[in-house]
Parts: sequence; C-alpha cells; structure tokens
Amino acid sequence: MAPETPLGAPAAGSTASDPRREGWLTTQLDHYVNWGRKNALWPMPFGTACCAIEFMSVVSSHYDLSRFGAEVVRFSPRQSDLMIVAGTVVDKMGPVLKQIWDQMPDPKWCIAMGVCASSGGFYRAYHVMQGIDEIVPVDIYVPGCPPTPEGLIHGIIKLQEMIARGETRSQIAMKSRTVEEQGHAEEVARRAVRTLEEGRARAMQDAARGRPA
Amino acid sequence: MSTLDTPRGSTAADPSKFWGEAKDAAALEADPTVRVLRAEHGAAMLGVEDFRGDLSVTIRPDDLLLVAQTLKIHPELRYDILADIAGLDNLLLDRTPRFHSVYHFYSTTRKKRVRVHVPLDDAKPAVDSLTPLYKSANWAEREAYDLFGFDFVNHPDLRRILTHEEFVGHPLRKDYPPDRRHMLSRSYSAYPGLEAEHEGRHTLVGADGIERVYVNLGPSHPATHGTLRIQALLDGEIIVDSKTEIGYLHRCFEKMAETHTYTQVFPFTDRLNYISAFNNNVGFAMAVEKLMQVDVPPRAIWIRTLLMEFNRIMDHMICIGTNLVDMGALTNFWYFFNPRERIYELIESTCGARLTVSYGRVGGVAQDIPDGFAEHARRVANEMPEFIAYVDKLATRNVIFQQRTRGTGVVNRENAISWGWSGPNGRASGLDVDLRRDAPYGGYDGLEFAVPVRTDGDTFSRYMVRMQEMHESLRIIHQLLDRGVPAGPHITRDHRVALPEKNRVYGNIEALMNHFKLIMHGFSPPVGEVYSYTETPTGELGFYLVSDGSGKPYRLKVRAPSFYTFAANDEMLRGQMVSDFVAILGTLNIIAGELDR
Amino acid sequence: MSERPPVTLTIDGKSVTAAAGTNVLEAAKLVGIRVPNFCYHADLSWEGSCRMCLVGIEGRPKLVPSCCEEVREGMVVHFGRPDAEEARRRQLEFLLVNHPLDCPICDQAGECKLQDYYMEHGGYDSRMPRGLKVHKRKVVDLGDRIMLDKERCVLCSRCVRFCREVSGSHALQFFTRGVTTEIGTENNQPITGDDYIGNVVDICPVGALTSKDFRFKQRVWFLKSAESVCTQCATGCNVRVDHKDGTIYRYVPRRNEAVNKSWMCDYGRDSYALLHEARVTMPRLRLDGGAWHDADWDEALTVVTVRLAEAKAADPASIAVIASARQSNETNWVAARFAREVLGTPHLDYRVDGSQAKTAEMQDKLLRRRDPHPNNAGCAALGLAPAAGMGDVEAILAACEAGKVKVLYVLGLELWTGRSDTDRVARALAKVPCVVVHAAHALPAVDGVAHVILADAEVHEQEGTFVNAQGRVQRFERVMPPAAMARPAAAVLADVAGRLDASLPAGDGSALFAALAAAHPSFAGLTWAGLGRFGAPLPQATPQTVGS
Repeated sequence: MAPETPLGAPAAGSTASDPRREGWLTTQLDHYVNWGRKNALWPMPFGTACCAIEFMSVVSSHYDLSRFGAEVVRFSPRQSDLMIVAGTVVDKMGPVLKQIWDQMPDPKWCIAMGVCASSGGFYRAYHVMQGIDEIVPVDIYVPGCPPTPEGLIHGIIKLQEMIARGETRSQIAMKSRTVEEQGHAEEVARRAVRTLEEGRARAMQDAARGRPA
Repeated sequence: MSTLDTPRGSTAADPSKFWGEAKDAAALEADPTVRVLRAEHGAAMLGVEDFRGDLSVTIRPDDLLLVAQTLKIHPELRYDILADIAGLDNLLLDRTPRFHSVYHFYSTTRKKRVRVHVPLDDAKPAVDSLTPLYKSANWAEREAYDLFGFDFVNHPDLRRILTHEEFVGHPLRKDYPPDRRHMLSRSYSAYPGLEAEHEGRHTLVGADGIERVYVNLGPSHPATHGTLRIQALLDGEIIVDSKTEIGYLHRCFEKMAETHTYTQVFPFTDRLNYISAFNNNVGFAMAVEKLMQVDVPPRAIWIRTLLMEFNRIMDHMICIGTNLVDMGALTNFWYFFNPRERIYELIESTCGARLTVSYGRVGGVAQDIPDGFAEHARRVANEMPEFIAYVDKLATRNVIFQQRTRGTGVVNRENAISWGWSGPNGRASGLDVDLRRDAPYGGYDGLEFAVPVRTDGDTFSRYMVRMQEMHESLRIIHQLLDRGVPAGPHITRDHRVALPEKNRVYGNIEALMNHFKLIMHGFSPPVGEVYSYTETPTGELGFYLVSDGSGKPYRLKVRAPSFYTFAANDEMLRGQMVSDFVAILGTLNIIAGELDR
Repeated sequence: MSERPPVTLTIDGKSVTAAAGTNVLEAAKLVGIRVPNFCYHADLSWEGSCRMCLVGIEGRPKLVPSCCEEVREGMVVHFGRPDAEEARRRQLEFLLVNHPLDCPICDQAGECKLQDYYMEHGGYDSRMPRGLKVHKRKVVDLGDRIMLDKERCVLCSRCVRFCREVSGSHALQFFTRGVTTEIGTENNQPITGDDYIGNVVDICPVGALTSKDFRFKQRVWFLKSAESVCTQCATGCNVRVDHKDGTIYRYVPRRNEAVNKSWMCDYGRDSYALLHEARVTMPRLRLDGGAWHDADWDEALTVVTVRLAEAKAADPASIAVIASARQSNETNWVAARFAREVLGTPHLDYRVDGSQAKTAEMQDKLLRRRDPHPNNAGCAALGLAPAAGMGDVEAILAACEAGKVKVLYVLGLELWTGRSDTDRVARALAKVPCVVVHAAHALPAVDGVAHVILADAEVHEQEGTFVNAQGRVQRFERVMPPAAMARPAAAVLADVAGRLDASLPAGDGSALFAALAAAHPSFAGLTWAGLGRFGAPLPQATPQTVGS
C-alpha cells in the first residue's frame, strides 16, 4: 500500500516558501512521526464507573489491548497521551477532569467511552455532566452502555487512523508555530477537522453515486 | 379449566415468600417492639403500622434520641444496627407535615427490623442527630441534609456529601426539577481553608513543633478504583487524620427512579454495583414484588439464584484482583479476569449484555435461558476452582502479602456493628450475619452453604472471607445444577406486571392492550411502603420503596452497603501507614456507583 | 327529584347516603368505588347497553346494571362479589371479540377505557382464535372534525344520545343489526351544522371517534394537564388544557354542572391554537417617530414611567387608561387602582366595543353567548365603568382626537379588534403623543399608532379569575411560564407604580385575589381556595343557569 499523503494543513499566515512546510522531507517526517504516535499510545484511564470495568476487560488478557500498541496504561497524566474517559462524569468531577486533561502534554487525544461520557447517557439529572465535551475536546465517541470491548478497540483503531493521517485537533494545533497562531490553534484545528470531515463525506457521497474520486 | 378461571396474581400462602402477612391490631400490639415502646415512650408514639410484614412506628421528633436509645439497649429489642436513614418529602402525598425522616433499624441478635418515621416541621425540618448512638448515622444524616435539607442537631460535621460545594437547593425535594444543574467552578478541599491542590505543598506545624503534610489521594488516583477521594494529614508515613470525600459519581439514582416507571428503573439499578449488576436487579425486583405481592415462579427463582451466585464470584474476583494489583501482584489480576470473561459469556447468553444486564424483572427475569444453559453453567463453574487456586497459591501464604495485610485496617466487631457494616466486610470482623441464611429469600432456603466468619477484622480477614465465599457460591451453584432447571415460565403470568408473550401480543387484542399499558404507563402498585433487602457481594443492599399508587416510585431509597462500609474509612485509616492505605481501601470493595448512587 | 329525602344504602359493606334519584353507580363513587362503564355518562340519559357496570343487589336474582338502578333505602349492593367480577370480565371479553389490534396506531391509546378496564378488571387470556374477527369500515371521514373507525366502536351509544339529547343534530345513528351493527351517519355523509360535535370525541370511551385536529399530533401519556377556563365567550366553559414542552395541544371540556356540564362548543375548542399565534415576546419601543426596536423591560418601563410622570405633573386628566374584559379580575383591579390612585386620572373604562350589554344574550341554545369576552361581568363587578358624567371610551377617543390626551394606557387589543370603526380609532390615536399597549399578540394596526408595546402574558401563562355571565367567579391555572420575556400586566403595573413612588399589590393570582377579595365589596367573602375547581358565584349575583 502506498503511504498516505500526510496532511500538513496550512495554518493561518503560513507562506508557501516557508522551508519548514514545503518539500517531501517534512511531509515524510510527519508521516513517520505520526506512525510512531499511532502505534505507541499511552492511555490515561479516567475511569469513573461501569465503563471502567469494561476498560479493564479490554486491557486484560482476553481482549489484550497491547495487540494494538496501546497497553501502557499510565495513571499519571504527564506520562500519557490518550485520555480514555470511561464512565459518567458528574459536575463534582468536572474540575478534576479538566485539570488532568490540561496536565497532559501535546499531542494528546481523548476518547469518550460510553454514552455517559459522550452525552450524559440516560442520566438527565441534576448532578450529571451532559457529555464531557462540555469541558474537554473529544476525538472519538464510543457508543454503548457500556461499550463492548470490541467497541472500544474499534474506537482506538479509528483514532489511530486519524493520528496516522495527522487529522486530530491536537496534531493540527501543534503545527501552529507562531504565538498568534497558537492563540487560535484550537479554532484553526476545529476548522481544519471540519473541512476534512466534509471532504470525506463528499468523497463518500461521490463514491456512492459511482463517480470517480 | 379455562384460563379465565385463574385471574390476577394469586395470593395463596407460600412459606417461601419473603414478605409477611398482615397482622391484626392485637397481634401488632403484642409485638415486643410495640409493647416495649408503648411502655417506655407511650406519649411519643404517634402511630404503629404493619404492612407486608414491615413494622413501622411513627414517633414525635423530640423523643427520637430516647426512643433510639431504648431500641438499641433494651434487652428485649437490641436493635444494634442503624441500617439506613431516608428522607421523605410528602409534598405530593396529601400528608402533613411535609417531611419525614425515616430510620431503619436491624437487630443482629434477634434478626428483626423496625422502621421509625419521624415527622419534621415544614419550614425548618430539624431533629436530633443519632451520631451519639450509632456511628452509621454520621454519613446517613449528612446525606439527608444534602438531599433534603434536614438539620440534624448536634451532628459533628453536617455538610454536603454527595453534591458539590456550589450546589444550591436540596435535589430530592419534590419541588426540585430533576435536571436543574449547578456547575462546579473549581475543585475544593474538605478541610476548610485548605486549597484543593495542596498535595505536598501544604504543611501544618502542630503545637509539638512537628511538621505534618497534607496528601491528596483521588478522586483520580491509580489506587482508588472508582471515584473516591481521601485527603490525609501525614506525620511522616503515618496518617494522623483524614477526610473522605465522596459524591464524585453521584448520578442521582433516586431522583431518576422517581421519574421513570418501575420497569424503567431496572437499567438504573444495574449501575449501582455495576460489577454484580444482576444482584441489584433482583434486589429491586424483590422490593416491588413485596409491595405488589407478586409470586415468582420456581424457574425464575432458580435462574436468579444461580446468576446471583455467579455474580458474587465475579464481584469477589474483581475485589481481590484489583486489591492485589495495588499491592504489586499484577499476575493475580490476569488470573481473575480470565474466568470473569467465562462468566460474562454465560450472562451474555441469557440477555445479550455482559456487564449491565437489566435481566431482572418484577415477577421473574426478562427472557428465558437458552438451550444448554445448565451445561454451559456447569462448564463455567467447573473452570472456576482452578483460577481461584492459582491466586490462593500465589497470595494467601505469601509472606509479603501477609505482612502487608495482617493487622492493618482493623475494625472490631463492636465498631463494625456501629458503622452498620454488613456482607463480607462485616463477617471478617466477626459479625455473623448473612441474609441468605438469616432471612432466606428467593431460593436460598434449602440450600446448603457455610457462612465464613473471621474475627480479626483486618485486611487479611476480608481477603480470606471472600476467597472462602467464592467456594461456597460454587457449592450453591452445583446444588442448583444438580437439582436441574425447574419447568415452567421464567416470569409470572400475573398480567399486572409481566408482559404477555410476543406471539400473543401480535395475535389478540387483550395481550396487545396489556403490553401497551405496561410499556407506556407501567404498572401501579398499591399505596404503601416496604423495605426489601438482599445479600449482595458488598453487603446488605436494601430498597426502601414508597408508592403513591402511580406508575412511578414515589421514593426509592437505596441502602447501599458500600456507603456504610466506607463511612468508617477515616476512623480505620487513623494511625495506619500511608502505604497500607492502598491495601485497606482495595479490600473494602467500595463500588463508586453504589456508594454515590 | 330534589324534594325526596336522601336514601342510605350499603355498597360492599360501606354505608353511603345519596340523593334520591341518583343511580347506584354514582353512589358507589361516593365510597371510592369506580364502577367500570362505557355507556353511562353523567350528562346523558341512562342506557344500560354496555353491561360493564353489573353489580349484585341483595334480593335480586340476577346481576343488575348499576347505571340504570336508582338508589333505594336499605339497598345492599355487592360490587366486589366474585360473580359480579366474573360477569364484568366476561362482558369485557365479549366487547373485545371483534376489536381490532389497533393500539399502536390508535389515537385513543393511553386514554382508552378498554385498556384501562382490561388492566383493572380483565386480566384474562384471550380465547378468540385469529382470523375470525368481523371487520367493519375504518377511516370514515365525518367532516371537518371527526374521523370514525367503525371497528373500534363498542356500541355504547353515547355519541348517538349526545346528538339526540344535547346538540339536537341527530347526526350519528345506529345502522344494521346483529354483529354488523355500527354507528355512522346517513350514507356516511360528513356532519355539518352541529357546532358541538367535537364533544363526541371526548365522550367516546374508545378510539372509534377521534378528533381530526388532535389525532397523531401527540401521544396522550406525554401530555401534562392544567385546569383553566375557555376565554372565547362570557359563558366561561371549564376546560382542561393539555400541553407538552410549551405547546398546547388541545382543550378538553371539564365537567362543571353549574356552567357547561361536560360540553364546550367547537369554536372554543379550536381557540387553543390562537394562544400561540404571533406572540409579542419582548417589549418594543418606537421613540420620537423612529422605527420599532426591541427593548428590555427596564428600558421600556423607564420610558413609560417618564412619560406618565410628565403627563401627571402637567395634568392627571391628560392620561387615560383602558382596561380589558379579556384580562383577569386581578389585573383589572390593579389597573383600576393604577389609574385612580397612582395616576389620579378619572379616565378609566373597559367598555371598548359595547359587548358588555350583550353578556347575558345567548348566541345558540346551548352554551355560546354573544359577548365574546370572558370577563365583562368581572369588570362590571369591579366598577371599572366611570361615574356618570365622566368620559367613557367614546369620550376618551374624542379627547384623543381633540389632542387632550397625552398618554393613553391600553390593556389588550380589543380597541383594534373589537370595533368596526378602525379608522376613527387610528385617527384619534394618531393625535396622542404616547400610546402604551399591553399586547400578547402582534397586530399591524397597533404598530401604526402605539409607541410602547409591552409584551403581555397570555391567559394560560398566569393564574387568575374571570367572572362569567352567570356571575360565577372561576379560577384559571397557570399552564406554563410566559413566552420569552413576556410578563403579566398586573406585575408590570405594580412595577411601574413602584417607579412612580407608589405601591400596588403584587404577587401571583392567588395572592392578588386574596387582596382583591379583602378590598372590594363585590368579591367580599370569597377565597382562592374556596373557589375550588368549579368556581363560586359573586356574593351579590343573581343565580342564572346556562341556556340549555
């Protein structure tokens, strides 16, 4: 399989002559680095409830997450790059979650495992956060209550695919070099991700209609 | 005989039924509890009631402390455990005054229960704290303060426990909307004046000139499986003081139960103790069955009992496995997670879910077991001893393990009773109570099993009790399998609660209407209140259910065993090494879903 | 009937005293026994066709339909006797023999008596083999309002009796015999010329007659209900408002024997839709001939206060206040005190369109009156009409035209919607430098002349009382909070009074009513709780029954 063309999304203010951005070397390095990142995810399990038990199953011998290069579970946010929020996050827990996310170094990713982390689930209640995306950005939402181990593994594979393409918010934000850009990094990243998603959706529609890509 | 001739749920007398028959007035007055209370506190008694065998006494709020003292120390009564305190808001019940504080007492010697209602003033609900008599009142009263706004006079530390510091209002009051949230802007400390993120940076120099340091453990900490938080004040390696903060998984179970039909509550009960979800299903189903007097067919009881014991094994495996991980013995974790997967497969074959099963129903279970279930269960049961033996060999006589667990986290019998402990933790402290044996429900009468009891009350005892209980559970499972699956339906045919079979729903209007009403409106139990209890892997899981005759529970209070176990935590930790904290915490088997509800 | 002394009987061991002439079924209600029934209806003749209400009576060899059995002294009735229970259960089975499997697509599901009684009194397993059901015509279009499904009908004849005894249209009848008996209209023609036909949907105990307006809009078990009063005429029919998530889905008449029995007219029934139309959701301002713009309450009320204060300082008589027969007694009372005590102006009137003279006149034989306002009688009782010699609405308009009015303060929109001489109103108001209108709905004619439009709460967004044409004070509940930023006029008036350094009573409807009853002789002795669900007559009112 031919290597995928890494993204190198142009950030605001960049010029074509910027040596750090043009030429095949940078592109290939991105590709190489992303390949490494993808296959060496260090999860920080933010397990709060039922989903955490299924997460334990995922990392245990039967489902064995290490087959996918993501088994080095670290409880210290400073040593991890993938936060898996497994379980309900309540309002009392909100500041803690935010603090841990902020302590993680870039590039970092977040998986909302289960419907509680994704949307509050069936707890439409006075003390339950209606989805962790109220306070932290989420790359992958895994549905289920709790998701099966296969479901979570599928989510991690999807994330790895996104990382390999360099499409995640965190990676795009890291490419913003200037201070000004970094100020808008989140915004730029969000826009870029949206453009990508739209493009992919268009391509899928085209494919569905039988048109050449 | 046509099916027409067997209408409704029959109420034929059945000795295995776990609810009592109604008593007449004379029998009620002859009850020792009523007799003694009438003699000692005649003026305080506002009413006596007996419903489904639950004795309920209403007393004047001013006399609560004295009445509780009589209940506790009177030689004829000896209600030594304060099992639970529930708030009750009568706003929608046409009953005055608006609030009741409801106490459940249990006597470990007489194996009897009594419920005490204390009506509280509408404007300023206040009553004496029971903390001088029962240590378990400490957290229970804090909870009632948090969720209902009751003031407990002379409580040593009356502050919010489940909701957070910036919460406004008392959410279980009936006029509080279920979804009105209050965001928390920042973490906070349980020690007044101390910053939340104080770890290692805040020290306290006492009068003796010795420097002590605060350490924050949790709520996201590798050793706090679940969302627990302990702030400890250390003198070197010794914990001299600590404050346990919970509520980091308060998912408003009780409020949710009030806004869903009885059947819809089952998925919520799954998520109390999510490690053995099915046991919660059965606990809740039994409360409703008691209230509605629904007979459960033998096949359903067989399925329930079998799966509850498998769940017990699974729960103990998680507890011991993670406990050993925290002490550095990771291998045991792998050993215990493999057989868990086998049990998951068994459970999956009955209902399609692994963890949160929602398999229980009022009157039985959701669907019948598949063909070959018994053989499957036997196969799984036969695999278990091997894995238990692995861990037994690796850990039980291991010197390091023994040194770390023997004599640490000791709770003696007296304290265990005062804290309202139950289940394996209580039995490890010499509290010889097992509801499966003492108040047999479901299919437990007629089964042979031992109740392991140890007296040391330390971490090692709790480990040993669990290890032995797994073997006892296997004994029960084999007895059930030897008896064979009883024939008959997996759920009662009582049309008030059980859905008709699908082919009938699609075939005749009666079953269609029945299905429709049960799904859309749910069923409506009679007005009344019951307390029902089961022995779950963590202890006595109680459901105090109040019905106003509508399709939703008016009030559903969970007596969560983890909650009362964990309340003792601060006292247990005092004087322990900080390194033992991890081992002690793991052995208590605190499940956050159940703890915080 | 009322001359006969009440009789005492025993039902399931409980002694009950009931008025002579009532039936056993009604007497059973007094001891909390709800006897199942399809054909019996409190406001229709006794029929006894459905046999669901069978009870045992001592001394009678067979079971007796309790709806057709008058109470007698010393009667001993057994409702819960096994043979009676069994008979009712088997009767239900008969009624369901040919019933289609429609619950999932039936609009009645959730408020269907068949479903309720099966859960309560049925509980048997069906013995009817598949494929033997007798089918009848479904989806019969009976005109603008009614859809008929002949299969679902249990032939209780409530609708037939309604058309014969109440509306008099004789529109619905039984046709054919035996198992093919069905209800319908002649040749299945649409029903026309019956302004009360909507009631047959309410009284149909099953899903045979459904409302075209309501069907498939909302499942009934999701609806919440509140008790209110219809506002479309001076009769004040009692209604139940069914709503969900801020939208009202229907009015259902609520039984009040003294006012509307169990009925309401189709015109009133449709009026729920008007409540949501073209709402004014926030205060609007037009200053010094500029364009309209949205304002917040503080800004709008500052403008109003300044204008009122200026005009009052110059001459209190240069202010005129027009109250409204669509507003509650509480609002009108506050408005009157606002005019007289706070502003000191004699120009206060509510008789915008002359409808108050027609309050007692009936438009048809049943319920509807010529006066389209719900509260003309209340305004009259409050004494809102100016004293003799002082200016009424016509005089106020004349003064406007002459340029003597500096501020015109209007509650409601009747000045524009109720009069035929809209040109004159527009001409007169064009001369007024400041026109303040409390409006719940947007109206182009108002935009042309007003300067301040204050977003008013509709009647279902506040609680209060109306006085109907019989002189009966009736409560209406707050169904939902006001739309967006709208506020009840009474609260706004109290707010403005506060800004003018005066004080007016404030609070919700019940608090204001208590103040009103204490202060006003016409309402003396009445209490909010005492009004109850069915209202109470004004102390001085002459009792007067509905036309029917």
